[in-house]
Amino acid sequence: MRKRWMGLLLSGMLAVLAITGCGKTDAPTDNATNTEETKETEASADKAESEAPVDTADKGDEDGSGSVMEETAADVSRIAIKAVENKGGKEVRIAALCCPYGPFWKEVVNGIKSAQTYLADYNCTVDIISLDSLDGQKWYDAIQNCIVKDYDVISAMGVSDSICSIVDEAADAGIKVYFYNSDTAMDCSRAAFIGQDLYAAGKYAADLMAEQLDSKGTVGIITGLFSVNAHELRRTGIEDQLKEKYPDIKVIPAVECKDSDSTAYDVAKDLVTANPDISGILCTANGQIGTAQALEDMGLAGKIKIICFDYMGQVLDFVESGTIAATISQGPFDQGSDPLIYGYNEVIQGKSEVTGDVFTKMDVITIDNVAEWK
Amino acid sequence: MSRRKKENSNMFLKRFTGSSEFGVVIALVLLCVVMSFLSPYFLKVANIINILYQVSQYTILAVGMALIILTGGIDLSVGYTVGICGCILACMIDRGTNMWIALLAVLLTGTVIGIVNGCFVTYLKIAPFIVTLGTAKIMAGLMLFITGGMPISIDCGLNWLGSGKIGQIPVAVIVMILVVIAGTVFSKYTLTGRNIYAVGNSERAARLSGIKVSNIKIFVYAIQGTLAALCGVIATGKLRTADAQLGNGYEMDVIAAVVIGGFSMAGGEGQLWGTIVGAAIMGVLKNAFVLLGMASYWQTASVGLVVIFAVSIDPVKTFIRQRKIDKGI
Repeated sequence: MRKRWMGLLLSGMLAVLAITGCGKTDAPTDNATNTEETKETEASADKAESEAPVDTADKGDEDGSGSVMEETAADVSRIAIKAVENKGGKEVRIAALCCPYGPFWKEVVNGIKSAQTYLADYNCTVDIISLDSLDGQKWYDAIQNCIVKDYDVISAMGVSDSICSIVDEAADAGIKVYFYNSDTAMDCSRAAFIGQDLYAAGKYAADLMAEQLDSKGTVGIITGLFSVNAHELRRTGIEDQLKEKYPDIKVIPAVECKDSDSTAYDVAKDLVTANPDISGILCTANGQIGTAQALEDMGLAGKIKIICFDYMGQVLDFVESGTIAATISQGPFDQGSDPLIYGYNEVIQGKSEVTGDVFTKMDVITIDNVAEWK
Repeated sequence: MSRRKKENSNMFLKRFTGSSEFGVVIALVLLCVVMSFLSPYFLKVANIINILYQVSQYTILAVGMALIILTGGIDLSVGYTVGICGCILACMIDRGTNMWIALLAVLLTGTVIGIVNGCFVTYLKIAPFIVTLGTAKIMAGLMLFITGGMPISIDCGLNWLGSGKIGQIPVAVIVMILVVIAGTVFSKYTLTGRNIYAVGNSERAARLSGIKVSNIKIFVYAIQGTLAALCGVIATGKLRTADAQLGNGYEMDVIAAVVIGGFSMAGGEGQLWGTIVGAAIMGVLKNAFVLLGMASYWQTASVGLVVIFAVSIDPVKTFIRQRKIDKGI
């Protein structure tokens, strides 16, 4: 009798999972209409004529990556960097490491897939290697595996200083390593960093907030994690700029939301309770949705200004409703595509065409231009 | 007051001051008193409600975890159970399923997850730590599979559980109070509840006295699963969104709330109402960091210090009492 009940319950659960998980038939979103400004080059223009945007949703499976989001699609017309001719027909192999879970990563993976498609005509294969977290140890292990597999180029996030030693090892083995999105605080042998000038982005966010508040008021900062260099650079950029340029803006000490919207929701409510005169909140990473939701629930949407980063779907909804005053894009598509093409070029040419930092542009999305981004 | 009533109240006080929960209640009261002096906003009604709202999910989960810990087990998959149930709910609603059917399916899913954990622990005799760690990883993967890595927003009546209010009180807080009361009454005044304590005190003795130990163990895991599913609904309703990160890390805070609340990890000891005290201590601490504008680098260390202080009161009391006995005082 007991076994029958258990069997029934297990069958019910399987049915539930079957309803929710199996047979996902939503067609991949066509991102070709995204009007993020592209730097037009001759090669990209030529590519646009000869290749229509390709739905590579299934290609993720062919790559063997298994877990790349189904809704991403390649669009080579958005690629800004030109690949050099591969006259010798050399085979180039690139490993693109990513953590494709979350709306921000959709654009990064779009960029990676676009570069993958673009470089396929240059005898270059790009393997997308997905990791399930930003844990430094996991990225260390993944890079180590790439060294064993003898890739020519590795594109990875500088998630933490713990990967520096393995990046040095890769460089010693002749592999070009490009960082995107985040750079390590410690120096290592990476060829270049492609991403946002995070400290400058923090300062820019501070300027936007000052503009919203007429350079006076009280602001709070909700940061993702104190242990993530990228978040820290933005946070210190914000604090330094406000201290230097806007003495009439009082800054409440930053609080951490562990990159979680749920925690940000709670923290935002506490901030407002403890500081009834608060007039603005800056979010350095994830948590912008939780913060916006908290303000809406408290009936303070639009009264307390929010400045944040990235432009996932829900963030754009909040910008449209006026809850978020402005959000700063960090060029995720370029972060996905550019490191691969720079790496390919370096392998073919024998020297890197970029070194140090290559900053992607910062676009500001407000209620006035949000329609272009949706 | 009549003599009998006086005797009863004295006995109650004596029992309370001698219990392991006494120390944490004192710690909570002290913490609140200190906070009320340090921040003028602490005792504001809105702030107290915020704290209760923030700890509501952890407390609900702590009730289930407490029942498991009473039997000497543990459940490290509770956070992922919350997450997967939230994701399944969001997915079903997004696909047009009736919200009551979705709710039922989600509660069923949570219960089944609990039963599966319980069966592995009981019949296969695998350590609960290992089993629940394994099921946690499976669920983490399933969450990614179900959501495809993207958040799912929902707008339905069930959001009321997570974000609705009755008067000024959030519904989640009312649910929390009801769950704690139900759990306390169940554990103290029902046969099954007392059997849970018996199993925790001595599994062998419980078995010999005719208690079906396997059934009790599976039962407590099933209860935890159901409560986790309920929390999944509340968590999804709070932000009107479910994603693959939902519930991440909940298990540590839940276990901390249970241990602070006076439960012994060895099993057989603890009062369910203590979980709300344990969760409240953690909630007040986190609230304090923001209210006081505390430098965030100190936050993690402060949580550890207060936790150690709270759980040390009882052992210190026991030590002093024992010294007095040894000295013949």
